[in-house]
Amino acid sequence: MAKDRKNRKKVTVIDNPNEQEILKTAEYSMMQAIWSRFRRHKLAVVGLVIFLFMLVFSLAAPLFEVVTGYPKNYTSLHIKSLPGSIPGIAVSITDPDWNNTEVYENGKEFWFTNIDEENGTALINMTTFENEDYKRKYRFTLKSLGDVDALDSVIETKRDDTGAVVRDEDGKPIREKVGLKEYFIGRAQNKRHIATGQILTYMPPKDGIDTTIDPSTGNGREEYVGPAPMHILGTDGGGHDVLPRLAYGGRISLMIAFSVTFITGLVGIFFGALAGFFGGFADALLLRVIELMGTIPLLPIYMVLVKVIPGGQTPFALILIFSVFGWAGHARMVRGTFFRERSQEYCESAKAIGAGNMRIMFKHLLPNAIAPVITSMSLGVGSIILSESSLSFLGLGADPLTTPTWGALIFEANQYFLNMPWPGIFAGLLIFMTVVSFFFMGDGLRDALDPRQKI
Amino acid sequence: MGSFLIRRGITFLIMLILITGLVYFVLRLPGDPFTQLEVLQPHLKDEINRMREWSGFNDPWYVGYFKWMKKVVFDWDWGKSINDKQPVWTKISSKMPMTIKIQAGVLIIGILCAVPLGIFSARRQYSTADYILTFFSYIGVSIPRFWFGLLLLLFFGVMLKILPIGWNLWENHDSLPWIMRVWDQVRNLILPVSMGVIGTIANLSRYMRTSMLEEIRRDFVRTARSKGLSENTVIYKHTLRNALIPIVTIMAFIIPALISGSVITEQIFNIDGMGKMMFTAVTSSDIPVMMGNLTLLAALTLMSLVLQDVMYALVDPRITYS
Repeated sequence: MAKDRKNRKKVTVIDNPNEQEILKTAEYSMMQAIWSRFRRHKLAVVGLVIFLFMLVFSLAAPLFEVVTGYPKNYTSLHIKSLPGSIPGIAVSITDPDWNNTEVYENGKEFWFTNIDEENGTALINMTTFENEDYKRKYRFTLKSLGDVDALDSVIETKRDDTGAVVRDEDGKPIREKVGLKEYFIGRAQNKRHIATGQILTYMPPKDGIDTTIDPSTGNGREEYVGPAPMHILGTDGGGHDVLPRLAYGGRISLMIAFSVTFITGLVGIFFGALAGFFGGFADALLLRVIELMGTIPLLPIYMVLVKVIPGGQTPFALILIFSVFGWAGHARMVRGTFFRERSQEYCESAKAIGAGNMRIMFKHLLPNAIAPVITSMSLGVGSIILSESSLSFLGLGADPLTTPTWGALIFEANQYFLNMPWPGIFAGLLIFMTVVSFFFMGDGLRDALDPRQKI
Repeated sequence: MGSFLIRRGITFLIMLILITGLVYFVLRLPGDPFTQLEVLQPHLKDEINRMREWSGFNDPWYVGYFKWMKKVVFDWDWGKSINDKQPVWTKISSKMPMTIKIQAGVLIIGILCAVPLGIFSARRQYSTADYILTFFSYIGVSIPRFWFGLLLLLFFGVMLKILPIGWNLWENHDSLPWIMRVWDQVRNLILPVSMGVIGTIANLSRYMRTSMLEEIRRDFVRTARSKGLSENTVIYKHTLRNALIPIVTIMAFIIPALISGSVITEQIFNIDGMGKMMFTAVTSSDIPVMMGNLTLLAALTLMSLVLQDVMYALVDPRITYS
């Protein structure tokens, strides 16, 4: 095809200026024609502009880090209690008797080491951090955290020195009230409990860990600052500037969406081509699978898979999961075109000349199918961004500590959304604009690539 | 039709068994909920084993699946939740009405708004009104629904204070006259339903427009016009009936999607329905509850596929199954 174009250019050197004028339209290359039709679609151009803005915005993320002085990740953490929950870190604690379970969703696992009973301090050992920086141990002081009085009401299962449950005559475990220090230290010493809690606030380090925290209140230096000259988009619950995190979130969301679209596009073309070309049993089977995948409610499936697959809450695993379920729509498009076109004359003649199946499929038929696939891929990018952010919003997307995503920012903001909504509003606006830009561009691409299809 | 239904019924059962088997296998992949506990706290081995036996996780997955299915089929026993030891079926059936209430509202209002909008835009194709509607339908499709829900909460619940934040019935709800009770429910349903309905309207009205445009170009429409029928008769009597056929089939996709969307709706508005139960089950690895929920969803999905074929035959006399 490239050869053809070169030849054509040579031929179009014509002396007569009138004739040149006439031939000018024919001289457009395919890309030029598509681009000119695309440009005529106003919404598509708006979409392209928004998309380019998002691209620049997320590529500029390191710049925002430097300007605001806040890194994308929370590099040290300070743990604060939710109102009404147990102070300290334990937002919820599951004990192995299953008597005293209050699960706070989206937990992180940790346990205590190096308990210093004298000073009431202990080290928390975090297990879920991928990043080496987070693997160091965090010192926290039980006394200084949260509402200590609230702990009067904590009821523990009574245990003897060996850690066995003390039971009454009926065989029921005896439960008793404990104080703050005993509560944590008891748990820590015996390693009896898996404490799953959510780490609620994180502070950037300034000369060591504790200086950013006011030891008397346990509160951070800057919390919930609204949009202001210092912090253009405000700060989030951890007193952390929203801007760099938004920019990095864009990187992750776009990266996931593009990878998934690329993979599902290839897989969809492959399966769709096979089914549409050969028909028969393979076609019937593929149609069934496509039908099922189109109907199946995906969000619960994603939720379960993210939880079940080891390391499910990483961008890589998310790409994998979305790809497995995302190719059906593209395959249907390709299958339809192949099915329609395979009995056309040019196909028959290619066969008569002796072209192999592979050649007919990918040399003759595929160019016909590529336009609808590109359109559906463009629309697919938008819907994958939506799925990904919905998952993150439920706290089941990529781990917000190491990879800030837009959905995760809304998830964090959701905890205090009614009072401090701005991080969530900005993140949602970015998701919305990006998705809309892909839908607009998809519409424009459909018109540009295949003018017959205009509806 | 009869033999078709029987054939589809058998496929339905086989598919259901395959899917639930796959789901059970996947859920058991990371071991059982107690594996982690055992690693961290080896001295509690006896208690953990007791728990494991109680919940039936000491078998390999295929045996576990077989036992689970046997119990469901013969005793209608869906197992017990690991978190609160309640029977799964009791949990599901107590939470289903709430979810159905919200999602049925979304579906009905969605159809009632989308069909007229679709007809309107198709009749005035490429007019300004059509472009505006198209633009809004793009917005409706691409707005993240959870974010839209939060904005609704913020605006109507917090700033204007005219609608409740979350599911919040009046304290004396039960002693009110029935009309006030209904109003109380409606008041609480407005925000969750409008959060769900925007995407449904946007999607459905696009489909409606396309299918209307396809029909309006047919020969029989031209015939109807040329024999002097009024435009309303042509549109509502001749075209609309045919244009609704694809919409009926799209229901098969919309209904399962609505149920899965309830996870987000119920999370935002703190509504105690199936979505929230599913979410809690997922985050706390409550395998029996997850299994029950996913089985229901699979059954619903497969059923709506069968229903799609049946509806096709019912609304379109040209299609028959043998």
